[in-house]
Amino acid sequence: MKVGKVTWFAFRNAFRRKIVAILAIVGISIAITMQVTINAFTTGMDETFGDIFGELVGTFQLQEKDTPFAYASQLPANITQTIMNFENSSKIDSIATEQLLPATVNNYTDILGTTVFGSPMGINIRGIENLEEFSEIYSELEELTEGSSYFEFNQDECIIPYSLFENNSEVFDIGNTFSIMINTSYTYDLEIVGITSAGIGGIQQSIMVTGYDIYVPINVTNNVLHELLRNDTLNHMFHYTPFGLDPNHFKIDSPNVVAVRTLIDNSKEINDFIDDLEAYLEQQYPGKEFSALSLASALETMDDLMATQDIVITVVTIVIIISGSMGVIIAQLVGVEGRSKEFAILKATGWKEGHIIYSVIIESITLGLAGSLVGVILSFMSIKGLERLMSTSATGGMPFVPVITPVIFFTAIAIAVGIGILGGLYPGIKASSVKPMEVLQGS
Amino acid sequence: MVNVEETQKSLQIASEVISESADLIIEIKDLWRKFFEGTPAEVQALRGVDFKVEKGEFITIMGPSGSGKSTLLTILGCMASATSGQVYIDGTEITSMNQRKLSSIRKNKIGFVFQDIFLIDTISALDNVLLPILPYGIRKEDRARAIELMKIAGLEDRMHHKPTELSGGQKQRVAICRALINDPPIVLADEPTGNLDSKTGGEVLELLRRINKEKGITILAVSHDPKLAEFSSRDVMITDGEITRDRINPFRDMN
Repeated sequence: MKVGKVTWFAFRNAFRRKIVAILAIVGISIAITMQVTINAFTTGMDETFGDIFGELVGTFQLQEKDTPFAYASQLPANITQTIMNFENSSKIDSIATEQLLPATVNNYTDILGTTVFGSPMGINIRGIENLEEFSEIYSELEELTEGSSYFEFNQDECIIPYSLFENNSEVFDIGNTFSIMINTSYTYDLEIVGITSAGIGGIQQSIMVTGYDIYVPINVTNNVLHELLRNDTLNHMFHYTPFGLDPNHFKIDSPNVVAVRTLIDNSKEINDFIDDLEAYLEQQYPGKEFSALSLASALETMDDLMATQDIVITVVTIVIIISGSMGVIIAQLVGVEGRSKEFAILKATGWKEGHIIYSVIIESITLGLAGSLVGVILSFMSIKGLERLMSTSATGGMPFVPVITPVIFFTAIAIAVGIGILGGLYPGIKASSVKPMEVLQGS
Repeated sequence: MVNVEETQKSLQIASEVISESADLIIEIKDLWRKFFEGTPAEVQALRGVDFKVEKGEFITIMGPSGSGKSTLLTILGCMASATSGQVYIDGTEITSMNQRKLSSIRKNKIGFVFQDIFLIDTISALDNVLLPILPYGIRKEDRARAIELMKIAGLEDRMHHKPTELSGGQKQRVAICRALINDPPIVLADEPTGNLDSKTGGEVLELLRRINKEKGITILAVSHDPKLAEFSSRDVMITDGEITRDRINPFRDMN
């Protein structure tokens, strides 16, 4: 069979019975509009989540089990040495320590303002080797804008966020001293050596703003906290006493949250890595249990939700294909019924049954493709309409951008072809089974 | 003035005139066709029909409705099976053939002209003529042949017109060209002038006669139209499934 000629003939035939063609196209386009719109929204959602959380999948914060995360867990900064001896440490990109000091910057309270809860803004002291290494973790938020990203003397130095410098440059500028208030008569002074691009809250700004991120060398974290705990009964009690913990257990009395950045980029693998690391640490520190706060578990749950969502979309797609096919079948059956003479003539003049079936299927595919293109256009318009509607509503716009990706477009095309084949097969068989003489004599 | 001897010859049973050595294109032996066999509604559409057709004949098959003439045409056209008997098309026995082989015979040996003309409105008259060979590929020579056929049919200035722009007679002539595009040795016509007025019907008959004479194509036409019999070289009457008259028309060339 000369496929091209029959295909072209069938393509033109598809639109001969205009009402039937229009009904079929309308039916398919409604189904495809639904399918494409749903897919565009879910893809937009996936991409947005991916953008927000993708870089953080491999990062987790380690703490002693059952200690509150928001403040200090009871881990020493030098636990990082132990972690680096872990057998899978080659997967670790960098380690940092972090400590929130909510009540240690009282001398800056007027400048720093308060949190959304009304409490004074605090300081997160992050212990890092250098900013460049750490910036790989939070690259979008933490880039050096001025000064040095290295701690030249590796002690009593700090890098501050741009948000501090922006409004109070006379106080917080390179070369000035940042004083952490240990008690009313004693401060721990750090020299400002660099300014990052971070806004208020640094990495926490997307979650809950409680303070500014100040980067210091890891050993300085220890020193600051040591002084703080030695001199500040309130903080000491806050960090240790309620939990009955022995600050000497880890040979150093400086509690930290330890942040670990790995090279792992999927939630399942990072969860396995964390399990192994916890087991290793529990072996190194008998009697202690560790836990990690990671976005991976949340992302894994989200992945599960996405998988469920994919199943729902698949089911919707199948329903759409079936309903679209039914529409085409009905339209084509009506069409075939009215064209029995045509098929009788074709058959009588030498067309084989296969030629007729193929021709009818191509007609259906043509209608399917036309419906699918109309559907894609309609879904594009409906997405734009929804965007406009939401941008004028109280929500102030959509939290994510729906996108019609090439995959969605070609899926719609594939569905159209599927609808065409399914919808054209039975009418094609029916058309090919006409008995020419019966049909033509009947006339 | 027709002489008595010729008139008497014309009234002889034509099959008897056809000698055993004649160049037969169709031969039917003891053909039976029953419908609703074995039921109270059983109908004997054909009752032991014996029939021979020489190459190049133009035969009109006439008879009242339900006489079996269309059934005979259907079997000859490889579109229905016989209950018993043999049918030879150009020397090949077809009653025992499967559908695939029948389809091939239909494509290569037989052209059909129907009462219901049916042309596809969205394509040109020329494309309608080429339609039967579309799935098999249209070669340059096929197109040239279609154009030649349309010229013979007096449609040279209508080739690129859509069927909606043609008269009834022109449409039927396009349908005849379509029947001839496969270069079949036999054309079966079922009431070819049934839907046409006498003037356009005459044009169609003239075309059939022309292709019969000029191209030597054998034509079997079922019709109620007595004018068709005048154009044919032989006319056959079927009544109740049997051939009741089979005669050569000596006046054909005078019409």
